[in-house]
Amino acid sequence: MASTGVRNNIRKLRFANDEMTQQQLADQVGVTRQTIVAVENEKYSPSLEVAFRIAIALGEPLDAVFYYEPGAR
Amino acid sequence: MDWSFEEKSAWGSLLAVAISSWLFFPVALTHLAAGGELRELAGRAIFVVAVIVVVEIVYHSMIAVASRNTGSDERDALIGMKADKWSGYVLAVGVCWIIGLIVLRDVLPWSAPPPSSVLIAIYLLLALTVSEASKILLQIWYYRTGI
Repeated sequence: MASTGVRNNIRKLRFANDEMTQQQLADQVGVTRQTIVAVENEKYSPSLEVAFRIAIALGEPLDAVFYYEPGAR
Repeated sequence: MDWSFEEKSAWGSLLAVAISSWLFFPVALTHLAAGGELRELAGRAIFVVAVIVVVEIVYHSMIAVASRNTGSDERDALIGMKADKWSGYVLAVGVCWIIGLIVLRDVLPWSAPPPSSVLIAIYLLLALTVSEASKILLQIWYYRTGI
């Protein structure tokens, strides 16, 4: 399984946001639900623009949603 | 199964390529190797194109009814581009192999005569088909394993 070095707290933050579903987040961000699933499971690193949109949808700054672990691929 | 519309679409295209290849290439290569003419394959070629169209339309209608078309996003585009890049290499290898076949058979005195232009056309079509199949397989691979 491919994994990126970009880690995230999306699952935790979704539940903190009124148990937002993956579909609701995908609709707000403008991507497919499968892309949200892939990002959550760290199988896809989104573009900077989508990363910002996810952070805005979750009401958090970017670095609270995403962080980088060098060598954690 | 948690597949996006694009991934389901890729499986349908793979099915269409597999069926059309199975219907066309064994017959065409056997026919031409036996000295048959290209125009005798026209009927089969038209039939195979019709099969591709029918399979694609029926399959995509079925998946459109079964699940809403969520469109594509940047991940689909990236997967498409990566698969395109590698399938381009596959096509290049196929074309180089055919060129090598023509040149070597022309240059080496002890080898068989170069393939006819009709057979070369079929080989090129085969290379194109293998390249397309590899693109679809890579798309499915990236969807399954991540990118």
